[in-house]
Amino acid sequence: MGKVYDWFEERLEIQAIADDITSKYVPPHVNIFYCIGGITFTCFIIQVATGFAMTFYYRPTVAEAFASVEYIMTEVNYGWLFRSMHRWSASMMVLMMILHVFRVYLTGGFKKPRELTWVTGVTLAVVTVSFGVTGYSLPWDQVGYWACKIVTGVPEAIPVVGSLLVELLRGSVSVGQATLTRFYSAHTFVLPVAAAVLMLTHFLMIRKQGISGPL
Amino acid sequence: MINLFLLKYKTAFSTFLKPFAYLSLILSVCFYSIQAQAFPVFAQQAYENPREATGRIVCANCHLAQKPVEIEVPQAVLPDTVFEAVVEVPYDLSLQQVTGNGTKGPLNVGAVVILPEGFTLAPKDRISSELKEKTKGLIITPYNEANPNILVVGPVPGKDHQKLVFPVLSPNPAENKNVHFIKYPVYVGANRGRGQVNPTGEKSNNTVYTSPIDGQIVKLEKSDNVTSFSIKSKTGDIITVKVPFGPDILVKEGQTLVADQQLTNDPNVGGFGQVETEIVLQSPARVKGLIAFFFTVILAQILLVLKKKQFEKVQLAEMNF
Repeated sequence: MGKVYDWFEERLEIQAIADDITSKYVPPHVNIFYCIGGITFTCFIIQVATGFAMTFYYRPTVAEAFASVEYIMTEVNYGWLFRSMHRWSASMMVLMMILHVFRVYLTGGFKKPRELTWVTGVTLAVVTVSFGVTGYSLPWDQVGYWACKIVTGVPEAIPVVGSLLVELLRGSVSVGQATLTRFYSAHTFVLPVAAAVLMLTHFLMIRKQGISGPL
Repeated sequence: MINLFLLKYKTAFSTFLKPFAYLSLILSVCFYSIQAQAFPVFAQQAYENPREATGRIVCANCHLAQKPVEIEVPQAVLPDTVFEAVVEVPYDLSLQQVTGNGTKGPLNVGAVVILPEGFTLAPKDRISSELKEKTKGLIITPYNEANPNILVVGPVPGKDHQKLVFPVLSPNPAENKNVHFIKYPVYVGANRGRGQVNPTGEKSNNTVYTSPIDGQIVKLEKSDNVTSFSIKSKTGDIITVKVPFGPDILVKEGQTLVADQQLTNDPNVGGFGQVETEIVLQSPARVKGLIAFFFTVILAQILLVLKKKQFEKVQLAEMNF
């Protein structure tokens, strides 16, 4: 063990990282509500793990999506567990995120010098909700299909560029295979990358500035 | 509307055993005309599955008016368990409908419950005495041999059966590989009162009759059970409309009519309604697993708090002022 440690220490100075982590103390004003952001992150980790597992079986085509989800729920070993966790953890993540926003707002955590942390947080909220909207439609069941149709139709209300935006979201004038493909791509590629980058900046800024002060 | 129905009915008919169907139709008409009740048996003869691809339940083909209906099932059931599916058919009990021979009588009710595949009518020996009491007077039968998961009841007197209780046996995925622990849809159609269309496509005596053309009533004649209207059109043709006894006649001999003018009132006080709900076939092992998981979470949290309290004591002891 000592040899391995020395090998890494020589190259990466891991002692400095370890000292940095262990030297941080929790200030006395920090209470249990400061855990909610971390719980949101935990939910995200669960989402990544279970979602990744489901990509093995899910097929993003209008003909096979529902059948493949049914297959996950009925035939795949513990597929029901993975999908149920994904489903519940998704709702839990949104709930925890909202509570986290409340906590930050009520303790004034968004004030100078932490404005940028707030901005990345709000962007993360948008990403999280987009995760929810795209994921909801992936099984391509009745609720998913109609939710997709309604949500992608919302930008229609915007003057001039409205219908262009709708077409951009749907991949065609109506909801169909192109829409499902787009949603799948967003849900499993675009949004995870965006979320990862935003989270990194969110966390690095907190790390740099420390936990916000008492009221 | 009726033409559409006729067309559908004919195609359904021709695909099945036509002579058999006609024979049983005649038999059932003979049998039921005595009782003058609703006819779920007609649907059973004409449709292999009572739920059409569009989601409409076929009762709506003859029972044209729309009325509310409710279904109550448990949120979740364990495998191989008997449970109740309660269909409510509410209507004003003071209402009277026209019966088959034109006189007034009380309404009957009937229902069809389309359960998920594998769910069946509970066998008699599995039904508790309490449930037996609730289902008294109801003869519930499977829709047909191919669909033991679809249950039909009625016609039964509506005043005694505002609530139709179906005793249902849930399947066991360990024995039946086609069923799984998952959420299933349940479709229900229920009706009160007689239909407006007979299986032959003709109107029953429980509906409104109208004039097919512009013209004048030259003769209005009552003979056994039927009122005949002879309507002379502007070109001189005479068309006869036969109205069975039941609906009240609104026109007089000699009166001029426009096309689609009502000859009678609409005596129908009943109607059909359909609803759907969901039921979870729940695995006992999963429920136990979830409880065990919650328990470990609570235990872990308690232990963490205890450890922190202990650590705080150590900190306090080591503190130097």
